[in-house]
Amino acid sequence: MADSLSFLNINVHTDRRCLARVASFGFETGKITFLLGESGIGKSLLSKVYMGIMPPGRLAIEVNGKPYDHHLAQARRSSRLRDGFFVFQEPSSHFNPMRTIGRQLSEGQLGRLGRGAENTILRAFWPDKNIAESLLNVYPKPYRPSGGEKQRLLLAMAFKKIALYQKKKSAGDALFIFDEPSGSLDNAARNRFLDELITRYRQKPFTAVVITHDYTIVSHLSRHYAGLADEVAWMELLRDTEEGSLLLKPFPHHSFEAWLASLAPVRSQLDHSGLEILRLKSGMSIWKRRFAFLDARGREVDFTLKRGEATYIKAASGVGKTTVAKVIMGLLTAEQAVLTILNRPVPETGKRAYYARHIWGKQATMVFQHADEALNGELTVEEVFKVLSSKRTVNRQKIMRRLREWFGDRIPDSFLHRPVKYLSGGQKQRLNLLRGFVQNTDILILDEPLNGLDLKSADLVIKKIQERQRDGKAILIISHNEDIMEKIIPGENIFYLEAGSGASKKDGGSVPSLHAGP
Amino acid sequence: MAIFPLFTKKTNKFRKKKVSQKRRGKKDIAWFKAWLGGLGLTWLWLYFFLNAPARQKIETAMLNTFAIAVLATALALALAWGYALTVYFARRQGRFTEQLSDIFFSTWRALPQILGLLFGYIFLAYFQQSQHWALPPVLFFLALMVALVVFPELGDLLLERIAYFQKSDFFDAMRVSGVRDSHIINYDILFKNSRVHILNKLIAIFGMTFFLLISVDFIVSVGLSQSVSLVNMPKTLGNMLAHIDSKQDILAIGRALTHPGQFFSLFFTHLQGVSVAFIIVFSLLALYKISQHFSRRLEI
Repeated sequence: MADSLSFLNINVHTDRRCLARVASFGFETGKITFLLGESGIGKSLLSKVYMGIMPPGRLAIEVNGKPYDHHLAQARRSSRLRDGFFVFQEPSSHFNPMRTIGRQLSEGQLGRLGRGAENTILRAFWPDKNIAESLLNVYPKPYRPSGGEKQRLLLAMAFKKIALYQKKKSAGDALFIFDEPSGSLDNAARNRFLDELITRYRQKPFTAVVITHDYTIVSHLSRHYAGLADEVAWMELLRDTEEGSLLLKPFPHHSFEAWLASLAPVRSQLDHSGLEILRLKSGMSIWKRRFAFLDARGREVDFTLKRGEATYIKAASGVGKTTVAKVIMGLLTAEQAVLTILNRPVPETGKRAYYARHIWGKQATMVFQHADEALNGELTVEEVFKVLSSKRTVNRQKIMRRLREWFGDRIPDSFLHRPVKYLSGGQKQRLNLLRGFVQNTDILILDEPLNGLDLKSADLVIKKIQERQRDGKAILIISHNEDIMEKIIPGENIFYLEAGSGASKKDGGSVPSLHAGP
Repeated sequence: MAIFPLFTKKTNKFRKKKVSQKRRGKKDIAWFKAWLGGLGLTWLWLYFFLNAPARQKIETAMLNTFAIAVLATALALALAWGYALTVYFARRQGRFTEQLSDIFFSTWRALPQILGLLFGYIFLAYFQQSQHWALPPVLFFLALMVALVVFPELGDLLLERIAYFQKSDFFDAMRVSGVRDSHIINYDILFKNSRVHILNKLIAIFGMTFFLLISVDFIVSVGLSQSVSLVNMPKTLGNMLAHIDSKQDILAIGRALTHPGQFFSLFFTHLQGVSVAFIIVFSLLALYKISQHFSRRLEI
């Protein structure tokens, strides 16, 4: 049963606007809660306030009607924080460059856990013992661990704290929060984390929260851990009608599986569908790395895009999927690449001018994966579309119609004048995608199109992709949401990318045999 | 549980605290007001205690100096913008054009600012001998001379901003959407995302221009050039300071240090030199403080 004391009324605002207001926010004790919701809605912010680790700074925060200082003092005295742990979303700046990683892994209370127990935890994240051991002896600088390595090190720290907590005879209400723990991990590493979490929980229960917008976790857990209902709570943070007002509601996880099962590939019925529109010869090289494309049987093939079809590039995180997309779009110059777009070879010299004249925004466009970076935050929503027209004008009614398709009928006309920087992460991602879709180019490259979206928005994006296919457009998708993409893209349109050397540092130094299937 | 009411007494108290903190944080605005107020008070003092011809000279000198400094700052912005675009497109064009622009601008930078200004005065004196220019073209010429030697500093800032945003995805995301590089640079990067940085630099450049102009004017006016005199040059605070009356007034300040009894007479009988010196020093201090607090407030 839910512990009513652990649910708080939280209100966070700046002097200009309300950032998040939720009447009841908290987690059931003794359960693992998966907190879902679109990116930027306020999951991390509210969780930090809840745990009492949010520095007040310039924000005005009130908890249960009292100033935040009151809650902060209470939280600091409680075992929730003392025995618990918070794995931050952005692991980049968490390591002291002056101490070896091994020493940092045993700092403070973490040093109380024996060497044997630590090794067990490390082996869960690095199956190859030697890689883990060599990592412990280096300094964060100049070695510079990758994002995935840092993420796994932080997770290892959290699991050490969990192990210490489990050793205690009298269990308090320690809270372990994992904020986007799979943000820098590929699916294999993410699954190892989930396996470790469930296994440890089953040894001795504790309260944990996994903040994520990766809905495919649902299918992984139901596939591998049937009968989790009593141990796991699925919650979703949703936007209420009022600005800044949020609702924490149970997430019907079965609906995700039903939705996933309902997905199927589509094919365009137009005459020219199936005609090749782009070909990139396998063996392209850039930065002294050779990139090869393999089909489902493991044979090396050229990468092709066809009209009316969606194509998926699959590889472990960090192999170079985005690099390939940038080469195709003429944003990076490969040492060797044979590329044909619309039956015309891309010239070796004067490439930039060629792309500017014939390709960018005319024949092809690309939607970048980080909407935060891909959009100019200082522009208003209207200006994002204005710059796409040579006359810098926009048909407001047309744009509002498109915006309502993507953002719902309830958005007011004033949404056009809202600065992009004030949109939530999920709204930015939808705007980022819409900018790509309105250009109506023959080739559309989508890099992680489902990043930061809630399930409803992900469904909308899939529908829009399939609409485009029916219109005879060619779509290239790069995504780590394998479960979803494999449902909407037929096997013959899935290309496995392999890099010649130093391919997958993030995954422990070797390229997994992807074509063997997940 | 009921939805938390936004406007409770406590919230309002908290907001009041925030507002007062915010006011305290706007020290740049406070310094700007103090600067204008200080200049206004000085003028009032001069109005009551300085004879009208001398006061009019100071007024003209101050207006001319500020007019040149404002004009020079505006010209520096235009030149720096052109410089940044030239360097960006030269780099994009290829190695040869990049090196060509590098050599040209590096040579230009190698000329010390003060020397560049002195050459400017030589040209101005030369033109003034053959044909007498009206005051506005002379002021414009002086402003252009200053702008030509200070614009690379602002130009570097603009290039830094372009380089910074080129690394982020939005540059490429706009390019692949068919938006021209020139639009991304002029509008999205420099106008939309760098206005505050540019404004901060412009305040610094205004201060620098003010200082350079007064220094060179002073040097020229005390006799480095025989062909330039107060007769054929516009009155500025620099040459007012070099004027014989002002020199005596400045010497009187030194004398007041050893004869404290004469201190108060400085503000009545030596007003020309003392007020010019005060305007210069106070303006430089105020401009420095405005720039410093502006960048702190906006965390530039």
